[in-house]
Amino acid sequence: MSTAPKTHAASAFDSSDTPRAAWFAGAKAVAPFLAGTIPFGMVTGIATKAAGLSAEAAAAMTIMVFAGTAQIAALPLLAAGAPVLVILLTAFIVNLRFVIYSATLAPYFRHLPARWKLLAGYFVTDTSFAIFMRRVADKPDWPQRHWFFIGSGMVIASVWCLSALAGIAAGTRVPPAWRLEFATTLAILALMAPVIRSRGEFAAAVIGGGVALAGADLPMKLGLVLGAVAGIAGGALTDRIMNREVR
Amino acid sequence: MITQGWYLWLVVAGMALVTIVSRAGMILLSDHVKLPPAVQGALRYAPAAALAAITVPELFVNAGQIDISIHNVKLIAGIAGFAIAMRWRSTVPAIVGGMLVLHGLERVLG
Repeated sequence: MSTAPKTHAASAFDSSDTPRAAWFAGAKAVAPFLAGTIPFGMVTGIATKAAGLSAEAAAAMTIMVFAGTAQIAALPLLAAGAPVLVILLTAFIVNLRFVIYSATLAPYFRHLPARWKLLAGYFVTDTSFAIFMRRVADKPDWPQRHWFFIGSGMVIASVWCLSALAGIAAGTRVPPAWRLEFATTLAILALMAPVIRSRGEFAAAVIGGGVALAGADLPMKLGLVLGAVAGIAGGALTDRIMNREVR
Repeated sequence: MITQGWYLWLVVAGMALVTIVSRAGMILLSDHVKLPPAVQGALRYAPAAALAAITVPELFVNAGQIDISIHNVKLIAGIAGFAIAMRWRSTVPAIVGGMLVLHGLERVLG
């Protein structure tokens, strides 16, 4: 794999044939998205602190879990002392989109050893997935594609974690009278808005919310789990009905 | 406090595990496991369904009961925040706007 070396660093972005160039191309491709990554990390940090975690625990959670939406979703449950299984199930349901990303990425990483696959898996995020799929649309057989993915993932992970740590530090200085715990609910609503793009997703939200509300008195936060499952089924059903009408 | 001790660490470790499994699982197992298209289609709805299932009871239930009156300031502030998020697709203005509505209403009504 000895292609002619590029004479100028900037041109490496377009035909990055070395791992190093591919890594940097991935890192650079993230730049426009950091405007979203930084506030999202900070919101996660502030919300985690507001839920009543110590700064150390909040930092540990951020770095170990590294999934803002799942963390923010879990916080009200954690603060309410919900059963561990319910919290984990909720995190998993929120993370189900990663399963789709992971299944879509799998063919591109099939040739790699397991430890590489695991590393790539850690860096699966909404942003890294979107950037990667756009990039490989032009050249699916690009041999250095995993380096591109790791480059983008490492930048996103470090920027997001640092932003979250800044948020945790800021959260420790906020007086309780600000009622920052409500910011967590607002953050979940704000994360939900861009997810609702179609009638199917709208139905999933309405049914999921409605069933959870109806089951709000059920023990162990079971209403939440029932709502999520009913919402998924309702969304898929709506999608099927809508598509049948179109055809 | 509930957000300390073994309970917290069990949740953190469990969430880390659940997250890496959902992220890396299909990359690692794609040769052995295939997601049927119907399942993959249904999974699209999981974030909307789960996030609504968390927030809707949080907003509508006030002091143990469903409350859709003006006195449920959380509901109004939540609707305001969600509307901002839908309109501008942006997180921070939605949170700041919702918090301002919450505190404004509490001052006016309380």
